[in-house]
Amino acid sequence: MPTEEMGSRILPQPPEVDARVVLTVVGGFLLIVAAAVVGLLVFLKADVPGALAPKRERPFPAPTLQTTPQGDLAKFEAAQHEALSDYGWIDRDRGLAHVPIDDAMRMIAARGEHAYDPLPGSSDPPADAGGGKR
Amino acid sequence: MKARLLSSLILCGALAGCGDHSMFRQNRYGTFSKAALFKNGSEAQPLPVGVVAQGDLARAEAAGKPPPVDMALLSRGRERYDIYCSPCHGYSGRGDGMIVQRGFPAPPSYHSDRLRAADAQHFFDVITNGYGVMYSYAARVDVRDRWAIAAYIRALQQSQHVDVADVPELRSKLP
Ligand code: HEC
Repeated sequence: MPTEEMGSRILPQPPEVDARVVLTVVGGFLLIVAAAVVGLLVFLKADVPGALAPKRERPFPAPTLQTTPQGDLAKFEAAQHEALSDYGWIDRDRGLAHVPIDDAMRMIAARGEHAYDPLPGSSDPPADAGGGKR
Repeated sequence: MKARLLSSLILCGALAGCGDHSMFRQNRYGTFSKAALFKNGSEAQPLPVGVVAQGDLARAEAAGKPPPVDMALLSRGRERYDIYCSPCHGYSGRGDGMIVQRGFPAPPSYHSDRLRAADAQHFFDVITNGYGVMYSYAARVDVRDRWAIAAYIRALQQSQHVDVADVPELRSKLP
């Protein structure tokens, strides 16, 4: 039977195997591996710049997923409406302010015939953040 | 009796031969299809030269006559602006609407020097004809509403740029 044959081949180890030969082979193998590793390190150090320096972590941008589009829109619109709903200074030194849109509508309506005319005064308020690329 | 039956059978056969009665296939051109009948080979035909559509004259007249500005007109302009323009131009007109956040080219801010100095006719014309990458809103915004929006844009510009010297009562409201 094959299994018995195999078993009898493996066990027990015949006493005449020379331990020195085994050690020499294993030792030689380890030596060659060590030499290869050292050679590789020497090569990398000499010829591949940066290969041995520790790699810095490269942060990649978070995925631009929108998990709550409705919520985002509500927040966005609230922020935009806020700019149209309170009083504040744009440039105190020049006496420029922003007012709620309802006040501004009353001011425009009060101009009567000249309601469509361009507004007096110019020079950009610093609050002019977004807008044209030109 | 027999003759009647025979003739009705024949009639049935004849009708069956008349083809597709489903009305799925009608004898007309589909939208955007080729049309051999017309010179330019397209189903979509421009209006013949000289055609005047119903209401065109009234619209042309209204275009030249800005309605008087009162709170009602401004409120109308605000409503229309928030519907049609704010997705790109933003509620406060800074050109930072939601569509721009998603990558559409950013419009210029209404609060820039150039657009503060532009006359209302320019806003009207931009709505009517479009401007650069902005397409025309003539089909969506009525002539009177265009003037209302133009007036409301003035109000937007006013709200973000008030000279306090002109409005003394404002002082008490400012921080
Ligand atoms: C789909 C986005 C979009 C919508 C909606 C939109 N616009 Fe614009 N608009 C633009 C862009 C983009 C520009 C800049 C065009 C360019 O410079 O090529 C612009 C430019 C303008 C300008 C400035 C023209 C100039 O002289 O620079 C005005 C005024 C204007 N739009 C008014 C309106 C009004 C009023 C509405 C609403 C009826 C409106 N827009 C709706 C995208 C839009």
